[in-house]
Amino acid sequence: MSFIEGTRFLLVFSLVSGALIFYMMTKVREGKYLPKIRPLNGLDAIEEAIGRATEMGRPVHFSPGIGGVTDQSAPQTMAAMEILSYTSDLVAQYGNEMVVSIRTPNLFPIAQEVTRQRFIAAGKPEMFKETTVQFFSSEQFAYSARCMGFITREKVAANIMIGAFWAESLLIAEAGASVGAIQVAGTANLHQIPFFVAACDYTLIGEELFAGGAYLSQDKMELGSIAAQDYLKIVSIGLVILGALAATFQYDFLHQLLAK
Amino acid sequence: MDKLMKLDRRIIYFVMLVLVSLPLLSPLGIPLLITQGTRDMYEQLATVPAGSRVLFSINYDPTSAPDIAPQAVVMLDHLMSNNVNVALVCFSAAGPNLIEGLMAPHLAAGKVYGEDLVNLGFIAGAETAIRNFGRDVIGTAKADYHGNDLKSMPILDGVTDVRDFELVVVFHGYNPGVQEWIRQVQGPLDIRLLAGVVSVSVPEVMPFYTSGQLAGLTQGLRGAAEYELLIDKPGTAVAKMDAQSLGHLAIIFFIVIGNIGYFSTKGKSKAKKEGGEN
Amino acid sequence: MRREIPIAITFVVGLIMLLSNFIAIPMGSYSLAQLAQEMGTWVIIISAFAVGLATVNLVLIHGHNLFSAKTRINSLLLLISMFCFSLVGIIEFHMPDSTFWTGLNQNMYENVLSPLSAAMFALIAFYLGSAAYRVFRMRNVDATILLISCVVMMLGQAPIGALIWDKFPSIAGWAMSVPNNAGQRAIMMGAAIGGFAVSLRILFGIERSYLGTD
Repeated sequence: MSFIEGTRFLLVFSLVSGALIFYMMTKVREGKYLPKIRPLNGLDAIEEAIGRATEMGRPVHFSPGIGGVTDQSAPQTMAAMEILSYTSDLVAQYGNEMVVSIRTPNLFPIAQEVTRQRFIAAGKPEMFKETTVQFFSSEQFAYSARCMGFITREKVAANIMIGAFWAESLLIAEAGASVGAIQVAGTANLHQIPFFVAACDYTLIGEELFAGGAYLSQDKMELGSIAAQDYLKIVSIGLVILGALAATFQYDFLHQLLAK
Repeated sequence: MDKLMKLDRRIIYFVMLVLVSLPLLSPLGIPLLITQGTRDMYEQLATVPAGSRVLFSINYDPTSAPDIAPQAVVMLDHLMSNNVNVALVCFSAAGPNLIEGLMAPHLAAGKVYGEDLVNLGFIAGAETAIRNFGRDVIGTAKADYHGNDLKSMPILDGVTDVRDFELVVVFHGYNPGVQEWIRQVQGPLDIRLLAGVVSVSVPEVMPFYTSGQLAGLTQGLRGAAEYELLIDKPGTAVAKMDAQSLGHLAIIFFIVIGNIGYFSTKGKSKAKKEGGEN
Repeated sequence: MRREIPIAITFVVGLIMLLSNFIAIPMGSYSLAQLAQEMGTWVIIISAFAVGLATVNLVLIHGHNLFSAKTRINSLLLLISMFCFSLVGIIEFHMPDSTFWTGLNQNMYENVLSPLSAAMFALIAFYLGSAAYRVFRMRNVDATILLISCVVMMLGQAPIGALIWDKFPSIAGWAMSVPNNAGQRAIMMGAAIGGFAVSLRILFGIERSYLGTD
């Protein structure tokens, strides 16, 4: 057994981070510490958007992004599933119609199951239809064209786009804006955040997306992991300051340590 | 003035269409400043000795090709004219056809496949594939796009890992792209890595250029235009920059129009309110 | 068991994939890395079945739409093009030496799919214009800063900006190198840590929303 070259520091950092996350989750679960997440307007607005859509008699559109569940964007997609769960519950309670549009085939059964279970849990199993979760296309722009067409034809009143998005983000958001939908968007893909900020009413930026599930459910374990994330960020800030000082005074030790 | 705030979007689309199309028919010749990233890219490629080899990683698809393919075209032209050998690889299914399109004019002009150019085809596995390829080029690629044995090709003679190339240029249209190359190959193997990216990815990739992890960075269509000027062969990319300029001016114009409408409406409603109070 | 088995599978597979990035463990003539690679192949196989499932959904929905006057034409076009592309692709796969089918497949990709995708990508420019017109209003201080930085960056990036004022390119370059870099790095680090935490929660079965149960 041997370590792969250049990954030792990463392994140690991952283990320490994991240990910190579990420690904080345990502390919160035992009631010794209760972290508070600052208000996330985007997530608070989801209920408002669904209520408004129900009053207007127009459907809700939910897009969990075009990322997959097996690639680098999987955490974003899973975070989107948490918010889909919450949204499905609200839609069931309000008795409105929702369409979840899927691009990645792998995600289709997962999204179907999440949505169906929430409708059942809300006591409205009959509201889950074959058309509630739809596979649109696995081609990026075919998917966005279908979304745009759906939003425009059905005059969607609430457009929720949470997950990993690429170039199609602005196309879908503008389609929503053209029909006057309330739009809540969130992604950790840095290159799309400006488009969402410009085109949507509410935007979740970066890790706000990952905090979404904890924020909505107030689950203690999830809150604990969010608190741990903040401590890890403090550690990262410390490393950045240390690295900046080391680079300024031309000490190589940190670079060598990180490359171990 | 209220109408300025509620302009029909079709007017915006029409004006954009006209302003972007006109310079394509009749270029204006607006002078172009060359960014440091493109200069660095040019200097790195220009100093590659004749007869040595360079690797191109084509990480874009036909969708983003209009923005980034001109960079690959002009840089390949530059290297071919300097008799540098280029191996091309891709990590997406759409890539091999694009590579064939890039190589075609050079093969028609007399370059020899397998000696001057080779298409290593598509390697599945995204980031893992990039990591494996970086450490074992021939073992990971196995054969070229046409199924030929790589060990028999002069261009790959003596190649074990990517350090056997003078440098690597990543053309990034989407993931896997620059970040994967930096994480898996540039950092651990300490290679000279350069990147040409689509315009929308520039802010995301800029930290890697300023930190020195990328030795050069060209930005979208503008990068291709700058490179064409540096090699003194202005082409279609330079012509398209005029369209980009007018497109940007159109957007700014509409922003100004919108704000004029906004402030005049705000002023009117304020005056009405004060009049009502009095 | 309906919940426990998927969680157990997630844990074991996730742990193997994670460890294979850090540690090389030989297992006889096999190795952890090879096992991880094999699992990657299983993912591709499962994805193929998922494509089938998604395609069935597509056909069912659009087949049903054929009976509605409002959606008939669009659904008909979708089904016809889907079957045509699939048919040509399948025939080409089984007859790779046939220049007709290979050429047809290539032509359909290059002359239908690619231009349509590129056209959709080009739409972004127009939608950006309408979004900018709608959103960039000087409503408050933040919106004004956003507006000014947007205008400065656009003029800095486009060649015409240098003609209007020669300082635009350097200001835009500074904005890209300093505040943009700072923001990008900060968001990148935060998102990476957030992604790591989510992945860990899924790995250890704490996050179970993907199972569709509480």
